Amino acid sequence: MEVPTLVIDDSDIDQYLIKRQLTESKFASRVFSKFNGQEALEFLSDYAANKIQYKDDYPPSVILLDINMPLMNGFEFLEKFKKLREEHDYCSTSIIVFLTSSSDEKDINQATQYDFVKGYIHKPLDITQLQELVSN
Amino acid sequence: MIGAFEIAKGAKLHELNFLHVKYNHVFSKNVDRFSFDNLDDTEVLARNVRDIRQQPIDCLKVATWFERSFMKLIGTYEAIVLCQKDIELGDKTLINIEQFNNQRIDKEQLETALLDAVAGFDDNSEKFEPYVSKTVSLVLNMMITLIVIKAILVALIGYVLSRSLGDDYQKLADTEASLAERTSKLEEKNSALEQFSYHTSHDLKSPLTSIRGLTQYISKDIEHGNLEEAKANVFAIEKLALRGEELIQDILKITRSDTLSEPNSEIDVERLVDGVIKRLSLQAKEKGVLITKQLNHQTKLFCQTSRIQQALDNLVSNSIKYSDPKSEQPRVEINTQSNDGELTITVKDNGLGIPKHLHSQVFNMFARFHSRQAEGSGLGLYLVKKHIARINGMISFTSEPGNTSFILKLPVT
Repeated sequence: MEVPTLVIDDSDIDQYLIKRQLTESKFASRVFSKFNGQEALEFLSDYAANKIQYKDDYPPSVILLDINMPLMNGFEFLEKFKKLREEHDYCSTSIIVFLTSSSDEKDINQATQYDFVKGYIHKPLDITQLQELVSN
Repeated sequence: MIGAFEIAKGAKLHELNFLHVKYNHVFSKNVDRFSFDNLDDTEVLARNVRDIRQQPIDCLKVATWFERSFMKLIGTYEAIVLCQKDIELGDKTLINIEQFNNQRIDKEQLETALLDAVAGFDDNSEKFEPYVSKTVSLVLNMMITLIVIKAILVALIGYVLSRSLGDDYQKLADTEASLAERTSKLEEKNSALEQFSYHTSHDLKSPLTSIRGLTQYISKDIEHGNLEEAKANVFAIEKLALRGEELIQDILKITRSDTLSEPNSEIDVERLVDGVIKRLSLQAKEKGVLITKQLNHQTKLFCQTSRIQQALDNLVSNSIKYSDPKSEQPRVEINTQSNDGELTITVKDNGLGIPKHLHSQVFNMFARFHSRQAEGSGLGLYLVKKHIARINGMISFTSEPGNTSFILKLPVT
């Protein structure tokens, strides 16, 4: 199973690590990298241009989302993405998995309140865990 | 109660005087009968006199030492004297009757004595009445006054008590309000502490997790002869280690900023600015940023040196970090001005600026706006504001892409 994946994380080093894991494990057919919620939202909103450019890899099937990011954090992104899903059907095909170093109970509870959030993974990324979440 | 008792006694005296007049009237008629030989029995006359004499005796019994002292005080003691005179007159008349019975005085002498007695008793009754009236009236007035005073006192005591209770209630309400305010502040501090702990643990854990991932790849890359990739990841580890170190240093600075006991000292502002430029010259050079100064102040600063140094270092360092890589010449200007006992230091740059919708978060802990440009701890501006507040200064800013200014207003005395 190789699926197009969007990684939303403000750390360029974490972006590198996640991308390498996703690619080497053959989980991702393509990895998109965005550094905060705002950049990701712009990417997901611009369907027409991105569909032409990335064809079947767009929209990404899996979105790995960090929480603590500048400009727009993970939860702020979720709220905006929820609206985007309501307005555009193409967004409903993407599933979201939190990938963060936060182990705060509040964060975990808040994250799992959204039905389109598949799960919550602590960094470092465990590919097996991600595969299990996605296949379920 | 005492007043009512005294009035009752006054009424008794009036009653006795009324009886006195009545018995004297009876006595007077019998004296007339005696004069016209219609009365032979002198015992009737003696009984009349004893009846008359009984009223002053009763009157003296009614008037105790208290009444007598009070009557002396108000000038009505003459009533007591009149009672005594009345008794004496009665005694004298009884003696005259007895002397007539014993034939020691004749009828004419007794008649004269009896007529004198009638006139004397009558005179005493007439004089006695005003004194009793005056006494009773004064007692009544005093009682009314006392009642009024008592009422006023009761009202006054009630007022004082209610004021006192009111004050106590107000104090209680104030204490409750103060307690609520403290609780609210404690809750705020607790919340800030929770946020601090949350971000600190996250920001410290995050680079360590990344380092662990990188080391695994470095081993793998070396094993596969991919040395360039391994080398790049070693640099990445170094970067992460520096980030962690910077975070710890900033946390320590914040902790120390509350307990800094350094004394105030006179600071030469030009030397201060030159020091900042010198310390940050290497960082500026790496980013191609030009730091300039324009000093127009005529005063010295008097405050804790390390606070103003750290504040300026952080502001200028931020300007360098968030310079615009697309700018032809990234610049940072440090300007000074002084007027009205105030020194203004402005750190101005033509960098990326702070997004407008995030202006309200600029001085918050862990506020970061351009993590791709530079990965700071997000504690720098929080620390700057803390330092400036501690030296009784003010900090403000204006920001848009290509034009950001942080303005410090510092007291010079």
